[in-house]
Formats: sequence, C-alpha cells, structure tokens
Amino acid sequence: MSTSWPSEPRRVVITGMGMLTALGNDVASTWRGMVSGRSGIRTIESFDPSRLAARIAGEVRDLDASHILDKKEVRRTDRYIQFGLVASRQAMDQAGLPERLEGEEAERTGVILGTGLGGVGTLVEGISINALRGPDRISPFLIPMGIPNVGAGHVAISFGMTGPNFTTVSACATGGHAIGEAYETIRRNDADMMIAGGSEAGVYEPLVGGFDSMRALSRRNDDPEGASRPFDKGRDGFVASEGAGVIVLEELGHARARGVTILAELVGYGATADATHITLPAAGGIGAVRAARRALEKAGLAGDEIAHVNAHATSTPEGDRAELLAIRTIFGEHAGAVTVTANKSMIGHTLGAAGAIEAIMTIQTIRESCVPPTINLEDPDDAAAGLDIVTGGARSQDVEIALSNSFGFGGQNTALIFRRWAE
Amino acid sequence: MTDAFERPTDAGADAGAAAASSATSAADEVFTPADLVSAGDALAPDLAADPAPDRGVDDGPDGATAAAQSEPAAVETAVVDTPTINLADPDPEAAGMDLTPNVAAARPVKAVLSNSFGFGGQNTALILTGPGR
Repeated sequence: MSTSWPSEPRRVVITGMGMLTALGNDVASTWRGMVSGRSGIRTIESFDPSRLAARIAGEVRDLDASHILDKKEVRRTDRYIQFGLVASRQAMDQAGLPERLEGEEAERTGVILGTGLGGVGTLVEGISINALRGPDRISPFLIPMGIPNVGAGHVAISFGMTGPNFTTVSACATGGHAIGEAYETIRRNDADMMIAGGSEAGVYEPLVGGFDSMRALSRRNDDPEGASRPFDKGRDGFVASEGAGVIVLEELGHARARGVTILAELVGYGATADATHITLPAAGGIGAVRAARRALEKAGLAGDEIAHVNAHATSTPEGDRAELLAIRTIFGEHAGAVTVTANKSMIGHTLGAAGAIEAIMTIQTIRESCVPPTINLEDPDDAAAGLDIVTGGARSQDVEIALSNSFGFGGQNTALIFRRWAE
Repeated sequence: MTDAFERPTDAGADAGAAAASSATSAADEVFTPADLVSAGDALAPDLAADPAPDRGVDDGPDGATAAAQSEPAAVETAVVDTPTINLADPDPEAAGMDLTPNVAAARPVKAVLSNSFGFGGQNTALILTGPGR
C-alpha cells in the first residue's frame, strides 16, 4: 500500500456514528428526541446544585461502559473518557469494525478525540483532596485520568488502532476541529480511517460556577426545558451539558472495498481565528464567515449550493446574533433559502462534544430529509429577520449539502460541509 | 544553553560541506526510564549503521511539558549538540550510543530527528534539515 503524499486530496466519507447526550445514549434515541422537539435539560441531578445561581444542565443518564471496561478500569477512567469509549464503540459497530483492529488496518487507523475541559471531575476531586488532606493523599490516577489527551489514548488501547492519535482542545469548537483534522489526515494519506469527535463531562459545581460567573449561563432555573433558547430575544445564556459524539471517517476507496454503508461525504473543512476577544465573537461574525468560505473553497462549492445550516447557536445574546449576521454574509441573497436549526435548544451546550454531536445531527438531517426544530424560539432576534430558522416542529426537507458551524471561546471557529452520499 | 556549552570553532562555517551522513536525535527524557528505553529501541533499527549522538535537551532547562516539546526543534539545526547533563551512569540500554554526556560537542549535522512521546501512548517524530536542502 502506498503511504506517500497523494497527487490530489483523497475523498473522505462517514461510515459510523456514536453519541451520548441528555436525550439518549445513542444516535437513534437522540435523533428521535430532537425530531420530536424534546428538551433534555433538567435541574442538575449528579450533585446538589443549591449553591449555584445556574442550577440546570443537560446530563447524560445511565452511563454504562461495562462492555468496554471492567469494574477496576471504570474506577480508573474519568467520565469524559468513558463517554468517548462508549461513543467510539457505537461508531465502530455501525462501521462494521471488529472488536479490536489488527495489523495494517490498525496501523492505518487513528484517533482524534477532542475535549474542551478534559478530566475535570478527576481534577476537581484531586485538588480538593490536596487542599483538605495534603499532597501525600493525591491519587496516582489524578494525572492519567485528568489530562485531556488520554481519552484518545484509551480509545486506541481499547480498540487497537495505532495510527495518528491526539486530542483537540478549542472549547466549543473542539469537535469541529477533531473531525476536520481527521478529515485532513485521511486526505493527505496519513491514515485510511480515523475515529474522531469530542467528549465532555464538565457538569461539576466549580465548572458550572465558573461559567456562571462569566454570566455565560442561563439562570432560568424554574423552567429548565425552556432555558436554552437560541435566537430568541429572551435568551440569557447557554446551559452547561455533557455528552460525546464520535464518527468513523474513512477514505472512499477503503470504505468501498470493505462494502460498508456510506452515511455521507465530508467535503469541506475550514478553521479560523477571530483574533479579537476571548469570549465575544468578532464583529459581524467575520471569523465564522471566513471558516465557512474556506470550507466551501475546499469543497468546490458555491454558497447557494448549501441547503441547510446546523448552527452553533448556544443561546448567548452576542454569539447567536453574530452567527445570524455571519449566515447573511456567507449566503448573501441565498440566506433566506437556507434552513437553520440549533440543536443546543434541546441538549444544551456540550462544549467540546458539541461540534461532533451537531455534525452527526447534520448527517442525520441529510440522510433522513428532516430538520429538527429549534425549540423555545418564540420571539426571534431582530437579526433573524428573513432567515428560515426551523421552529414549531421538525420539517421535511430534501437536504443534499449542509454546513455545521462551531465556535469556541478564544475566537476559534470551524466549519464542516457534509454532502449526501450517492454512488 | 547549559553551562557546559562550548562554542565550535569552524564547524559552523563548514557545516554544509562537512555534512556527510551524521545525524543526531533528541530522545525525550522527561518521563520514566521505561520511556527512555523505548526511545533507544526506536532509534536502533534505523540509525545503527551510523551511530548517532543521542541526547536529550530537556534536562538542561526545566524540561516539563510545552517547553520540552519546542526546544529540540529550535536548537538542533545548529551544529552543536547540547549535552545530557547529570549522565553519570548510563542505562545499559544506551550501550554503543553517544548520548553527548555532560559536555556539549560540535559536529556537522545532515538531518535531525526530534522525538516526543506522551502519556496515553501518543508519539510524534519530526525530522529537520538545515536550509538549502
């Protein structure tokens, strides 16, 4: 097999998808929840949130990694790692991959599992133990459970792939970067398959409190299901959530040779920086515009060939408005013909997992010809005038090509473009 | 640079002409003895025919994380090998290798391999050459 630089970029398709969200512990249940317009946001259940001003979250329930890890291994892996392992296994199962990769297949398969925060549950506990009982009581697993790259390492340890392996960390753009960089890894012939996505388990008191102290979170505690309301004038911040999304990316010829079902093609990826502010988007969402334009350029597409945008839309006043302005700039006169939806209205903001979860929902929209609604959108932002944000229930739409946006604190932006697969 | 740095005399000017086949590497030594053994093992198959000076720069400055990753690439295009300090009793796995113990050495360099290995089992290798190649 040639592993040299290809004469032209190789085509990359998606052959597997896995997911854990507040709506369900796989893609099918999350998709059903989204299509039905159901919110997974509740009052925080995993700890007593009474000291917090923002006491709601989108939590993963009934996590079970016992098919991958034994009891001792479960104790020695952070929750974000377990999320990543479970979602990776789901994606690998759909892609028809064995329990463990071997030989050349293993060498030509890599992992990019991003996380915005890493093993913060482990770190919070370790820091507390250090403060209360001293450094000689710190667990030897504080570091291997807490550092953010080890999730990707555990996927390889569990499933055997020995190709490129690392972690992206770009806050809420993490999942977009992971998938985009995996796409580039296959395009340039450094791998034939990549397991890629994002995983986040950050619903802990100091983290929720930290986001809240930035005034980033919704405090609509008496109405959890109505708290995440992207593009609505009444939005007051995002809802901190946890989850994971992982996909199998595969070189087209490799997927064909395996005879596996191709779910969609990833045709474009763009990544940019605002270079303006640590939390506020650049004026007019210009960083997002440039990311989308770069993705369109790589895909060889014009803006008017995009039928649907899966928005980043976190439910913050500034971020949502900037994205609406960006959509206008990206598509120009075509902007009103593009359907837009915001998955975070139902599952909240899964931070480093969001880009990957939304990429999967974008693929589902293409495959099912169905756009899930943006719930809680009752009084649209003035900047939404003339745009087609899907509300009031899922909508049937034939979507051949769709754009998925992700933007992170720090001014980091990604754009992914997926196309329906047709032989 | 460490205190043991010794400036070369004419090696720099002659680097291009003298760059016959010598190569040097920076084994990442910030982790455990086991990691160092792994680095030596990885070097042995490719470079055994042309024994390479094998030295780590991480132990001069505070070789912990990000700085440890960036420094090798920054210095290895020079024709001076900074030393591995505190190397009093080499690991048996280092037998036959030139780890540039304790004192800097000047030698012509054709290409340089820079290794980095992370917890989690993540590995990278960078190969650098001088300008004009």
